[in-house]
Amino acid sequence: MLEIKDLELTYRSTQGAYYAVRKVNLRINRGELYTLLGPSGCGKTTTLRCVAGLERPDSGEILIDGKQVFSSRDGIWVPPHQRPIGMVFQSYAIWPHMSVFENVAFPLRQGAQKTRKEEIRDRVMQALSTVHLDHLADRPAPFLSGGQQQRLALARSLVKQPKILLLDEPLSNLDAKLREEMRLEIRSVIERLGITTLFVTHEQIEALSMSDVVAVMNDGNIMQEAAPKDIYGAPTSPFVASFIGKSNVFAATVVSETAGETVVASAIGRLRCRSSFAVKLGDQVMVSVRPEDVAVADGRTSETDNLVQGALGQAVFIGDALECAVKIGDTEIRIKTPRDADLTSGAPVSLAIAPHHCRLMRAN
Amino acid sequence: MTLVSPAEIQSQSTEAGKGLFARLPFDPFTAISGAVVIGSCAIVLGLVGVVGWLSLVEGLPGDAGKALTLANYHKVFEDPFVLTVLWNTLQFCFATLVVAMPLGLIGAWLVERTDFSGKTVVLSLMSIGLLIPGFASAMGWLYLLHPRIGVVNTWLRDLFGLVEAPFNIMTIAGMGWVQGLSLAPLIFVMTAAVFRAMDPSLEEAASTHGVKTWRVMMKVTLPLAWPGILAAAIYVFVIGFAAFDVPAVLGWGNRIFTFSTFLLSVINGSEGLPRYGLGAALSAVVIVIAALLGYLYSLMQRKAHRYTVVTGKAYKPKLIELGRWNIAAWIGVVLYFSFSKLVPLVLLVYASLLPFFQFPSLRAFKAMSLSNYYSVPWGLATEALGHTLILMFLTPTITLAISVAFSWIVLKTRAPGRKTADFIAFLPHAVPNVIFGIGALLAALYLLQSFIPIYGTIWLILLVFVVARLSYGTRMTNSGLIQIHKELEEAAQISGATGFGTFRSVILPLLSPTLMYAWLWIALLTYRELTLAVVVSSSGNVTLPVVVWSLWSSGGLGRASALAVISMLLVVPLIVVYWFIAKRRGALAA
Repeated sequence: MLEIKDLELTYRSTQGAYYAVRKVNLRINRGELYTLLGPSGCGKTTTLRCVAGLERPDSGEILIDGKQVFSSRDGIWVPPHQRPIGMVFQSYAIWPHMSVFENVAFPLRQGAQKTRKEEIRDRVMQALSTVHLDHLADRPAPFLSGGQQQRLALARSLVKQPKILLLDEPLSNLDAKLREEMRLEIRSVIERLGITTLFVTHEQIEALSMSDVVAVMNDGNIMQEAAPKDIYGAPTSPFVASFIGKSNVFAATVVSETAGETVVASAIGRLRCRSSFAVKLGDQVMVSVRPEDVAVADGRTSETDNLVQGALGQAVFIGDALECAVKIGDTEIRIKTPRDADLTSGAPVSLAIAPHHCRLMRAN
Repeated sequence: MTLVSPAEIQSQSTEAGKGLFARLPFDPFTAISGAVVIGSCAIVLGLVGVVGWLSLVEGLPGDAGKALTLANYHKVFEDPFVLTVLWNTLQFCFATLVVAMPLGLIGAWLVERTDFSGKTVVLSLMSIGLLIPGFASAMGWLYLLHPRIGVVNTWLRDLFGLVEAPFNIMTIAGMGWVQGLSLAPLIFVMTAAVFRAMDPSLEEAASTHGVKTWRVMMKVTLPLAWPGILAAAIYVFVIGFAAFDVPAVLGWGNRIFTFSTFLLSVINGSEGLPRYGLGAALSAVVIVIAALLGYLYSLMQRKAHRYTVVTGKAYKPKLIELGRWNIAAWIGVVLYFSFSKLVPLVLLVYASLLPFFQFPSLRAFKAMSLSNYYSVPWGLATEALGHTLILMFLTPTITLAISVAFSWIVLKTRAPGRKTADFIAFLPHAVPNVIFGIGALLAALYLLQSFIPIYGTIWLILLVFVVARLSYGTRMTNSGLIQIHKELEEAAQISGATGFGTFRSVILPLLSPTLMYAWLWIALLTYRELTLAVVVSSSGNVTLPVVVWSLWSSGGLGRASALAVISMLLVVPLIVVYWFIAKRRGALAA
């Protein structure tokens, strides 16, 4: 279990100070895979490095299994080598002067208490077989492929049986095919071992497919924290809406409010929407609609759907679908339709959007 | 399930340290490194400071005046002979530069920018060239162009019936010629690095726009390389101030002094009492000159950096095809190495076999014997060799240990003042080394003698040698350490390794090729070092080059030559080892 309370870290340079992390709070339950997702420079890696002890926060508190490893108030600082953690680095950080076996054995050979030779051997081989590398134990580490190095890094981070596993963009150096494979494999190893994991990535697909909880970070803050499905389906801010997947985001004003359904006036007309927070008449809000949730209206559209009239713009074939711009008044929204849809540029079109796909968000 | 799940492990107690120690932002290893760095910086600055202080004091050790006075400076600027010496030195440095610059530059250009077929030969000979002691080639040149006995002069006189000798090597120009030949490799090394770091696409951009090759060179290559070339020039100029071997061998007998040789004559008291105060004042003046040049140098370096467009693209620039000029380049290379090394060394060997020097003839060959070799003062020579070997082992070892500490603090910590520490480690590069020799000598005599009597021991030499090599050492360890990815070290920390554990099991093994190479290079430079050793030596701590020099300066030319030949033969195996290591590092391939 990992808890971070009010974590703050400021970098100072000659140009002045800037916040890398400001007031980050999070809690990862035992066995959970928690992902920090965000653009580069958002503070996600810094947060992870604070947990590892590789960065020293200015203030806040970090607890691993209820034990403080950092607390500015109590003046506690546990150096990285004494923290019960394992970590996979972005570069894998495989020591090139050691064999595969020696790399994994290294964590067991550190520290005050001596581990017996046979025990080291057993535990290293166990860890290697978990990632299917046991047959390469004696190979010099530089003679491994990218995927194998990544597995080796994982085995090395697990061999000490840490309480927290930290993954710092571990897949970013792999090619697309291998990345897909390793996503599943890492997830299954973590699940099998039931290890509490903090995962940092800028790839939304990794975050959505691997995590129990995703937290989107921007500018040193956690913007939203939710299960993958919820964070995709119900973003609470324009940033999250457009950072995860694509989203049409536009401003609107609340014109009527009844239980469960809110009607807003927007640039593309009146829309019936779902709101996850209380609104009142006249509130300025933002609406987010995902391109794939917009359908070209035909006879089968449900009567509860919002119907919007517009003109088709340019369509782009992207393989599994067509992406198309639709001009509604002065506003343009993007829609995603089946790839065999018959769309003519400039033709009038009627769009159907279900109310539960129009998510209301607070205006900043 | 193969691994035990963390939930099942009994929670191991991880000591959350609460003491002051745990709150320190560094571990003991860093603390020791920091102490080493602070100590070394204090020594480097202290040596310069002692020179500055004693330049303001009159009197000998023991009865030095307490009051500060400018008397020494008056002597420096009012004594016409001192001014002559400074003027000589400037001329000497300039002549050195005029000779070394074109040679080094052409060499660097051949190796980095053309398809010249002898690159490995040039690279090998250039680095080995730096290892051949300056005094050895200067002795050889004396035998060649001495106005009375010089082989070439004798030959030309006989051939054309001349009365006057056409050449005289015992002049400022002659010294500059010999020094320039031996410093060309330094220009070569520094400018080759500039050429290599330059983005070839800048040149290619010019050629694709239809500019001719030589115009590209003049208009693009040279202007881009200019700051780097100027930086190399400034460096060689500073070395000229510190050069002792060549001006001593060629000028001492005729009392043609440059800064270093004059400094030695002043503090040696070769004319009466040692005049330490005057030496210190003279040194202080040179420190000021060096500081100005050093400032210029750093400006040039910064500019060179700005010009450098490092792409990281692994593609080689298009090389200029030499074609028929390849042979011309070979001839040039052979001529250079013949003049700078081969011919002087052959003459040195020849002279060492003769009872007195004479023009090669049947009579001369009949007179050849090993008697010079027998009459070398072997007791003194073996003692000196012992000292030299100890220094050869300890200088690189200690220098690199300190350098690693410097690099660790400068690159791997956020310690305050780390940039300043790096600058101080670089000082020995910018200040003529001989100043540190004077500083150490004065410190030992005036300050330390009563409680740490290191005057007259090899420890004083060791101290000076280490300080002098510190800038090279730290540059090497800096570049070695930068190449080790930060995450390799962090992974070790996460794996439970302490600061020292990380260093021992990850950093050191990965740094060891760099350390081995640098160790050998420093050891070889230590073996040939005369300047610094002669400044701080006395009867009890002579090194091998110092014995050669004292034989030479006391008129035993044949015996000096014999010992010089022996000392060069002794180091050949180590040079061969160096060559193989350098080759394996790829240092000998363009």
